[in-house]
Amino acid sequence: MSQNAYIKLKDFSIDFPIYTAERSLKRALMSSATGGIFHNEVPSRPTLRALDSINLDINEGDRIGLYGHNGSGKTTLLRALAGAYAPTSGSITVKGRVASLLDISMGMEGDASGWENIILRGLTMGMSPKEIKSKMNEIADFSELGGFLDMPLRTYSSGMQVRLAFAVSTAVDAEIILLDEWLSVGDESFQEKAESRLKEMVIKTPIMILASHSKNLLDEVTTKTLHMEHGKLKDQ
Amino acid sequence: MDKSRSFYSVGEKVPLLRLATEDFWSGLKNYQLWMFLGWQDIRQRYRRSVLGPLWLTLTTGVTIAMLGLLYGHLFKMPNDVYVPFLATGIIVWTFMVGLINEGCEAFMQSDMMIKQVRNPLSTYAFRTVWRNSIILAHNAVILIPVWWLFPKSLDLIGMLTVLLGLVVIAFNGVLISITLGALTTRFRDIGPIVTNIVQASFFITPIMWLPSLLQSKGVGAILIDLNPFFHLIEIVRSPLLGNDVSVNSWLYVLGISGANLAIALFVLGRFRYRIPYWL
Repeated sequence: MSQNAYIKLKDFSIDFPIYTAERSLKRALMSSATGGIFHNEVPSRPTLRALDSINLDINEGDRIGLYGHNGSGKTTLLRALAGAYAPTSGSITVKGRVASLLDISMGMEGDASGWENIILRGLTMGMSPKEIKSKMNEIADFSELGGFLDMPLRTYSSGMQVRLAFAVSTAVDAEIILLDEWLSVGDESFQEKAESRLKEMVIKTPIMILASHSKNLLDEVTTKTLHMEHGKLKDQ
Repeated sequence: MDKSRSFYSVGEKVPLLRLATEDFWSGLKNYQLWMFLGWQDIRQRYRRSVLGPLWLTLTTGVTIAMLGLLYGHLFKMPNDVYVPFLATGIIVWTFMVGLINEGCEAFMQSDMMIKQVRNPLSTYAFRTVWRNSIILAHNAVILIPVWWLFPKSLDLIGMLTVLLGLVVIAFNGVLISITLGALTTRFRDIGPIVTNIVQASFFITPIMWLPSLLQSKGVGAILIDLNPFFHLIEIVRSPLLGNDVSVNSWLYVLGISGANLAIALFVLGRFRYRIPYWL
């Protein structure tokens, strides 16, 4: 296989364990001391099946849309593709550098300046300091924040924070991009700019996966839409 | 570019040890990330303060000065013996306490990142150790006036020994952060338990009192010879005070490090993929 980027999921499932204080150390110790008989009435380990036997083959050139209700497993699937959650059963193989644009606030710090946040966000997105430095000005220009970059992030409006995060996140060179719903950034003029940047990114990136509630958006930018329901892919 | 960044595969059975060592090495190689995050933690703590991280130096300085005057008097010890002993002991102890207590939080502190991007998990243990090494560097400044007031003979070999000792403690810090970080993430009661044990250890370890005050038999043997904290402190404190480190202490530290390594690798190999689910 000489592809630069591909994703393969086989019977991929994720079960989230549900922990409460009920399942604490005391319980664990007590159940080991009493051989577990003591707690027979409690199911051994409550779990939530977030993804259920997903089979997926994504290759270069694919633009995949994930569509489904809240809690259908879109975000969990994106996080699994990012490599954060390993399968509890089944397998996953991902080739290619992944840029995950899932949470805009990841790695950002309120008390740090805009410049510092560019570095922080860049590093957490997997860029090297050298790479960040070389793109620093471009990122700053794109964000249109000007003098605000010297100010702490907490003085920004939420729209401005999103702009900065967007500017850094879309500067990553990656073979695979994962997007979770946050395409509406900033005011109208910035939104246009953001959209064209995203489109540009989508063109130069071999694989894109986008989760959204908006069918229109998905039809517009993706080549294939996958329906998710209760952690399963429908009509597969 | 780092190959591990662009390939990821889970599903086939991988031997625990391989999984653990791979995570450890790629975590170490991820130094640009953990060094920056560690610095950022310090900067964050002291942002908008005039003295900034110098508060670390000042706080430790005040503690040492107060304890030095009071306990030196109580124990009827000459200052030139007691103060350097206390200063070095407290500084090394503060380093170890930070590693252990903050090690418990190693993964919980970075939960946002762990749940969204793929990094070697040991990255976050290194971050904790790096942050505490920066604190150590600030605290170590205290030794300059102490040495100026009460000179000790510290030769090149001694300095290298100190450095080696600190590296050994830091290495153990990474390992304990992995082990305790994983356990605390799963069982949230572990953190407070560890804090209490560490707190108690401060009093029973010869830091404020000299080991020569105890007889080397009975209780003394337990508090000194069998106390891992004592030996870990000794490998740094002894050379700083111009003494040799006993072979016994080195052997003991070697044993601790070995056990620590074995446990941490097991925990990392066994729970590498479970930890994100516990956050």
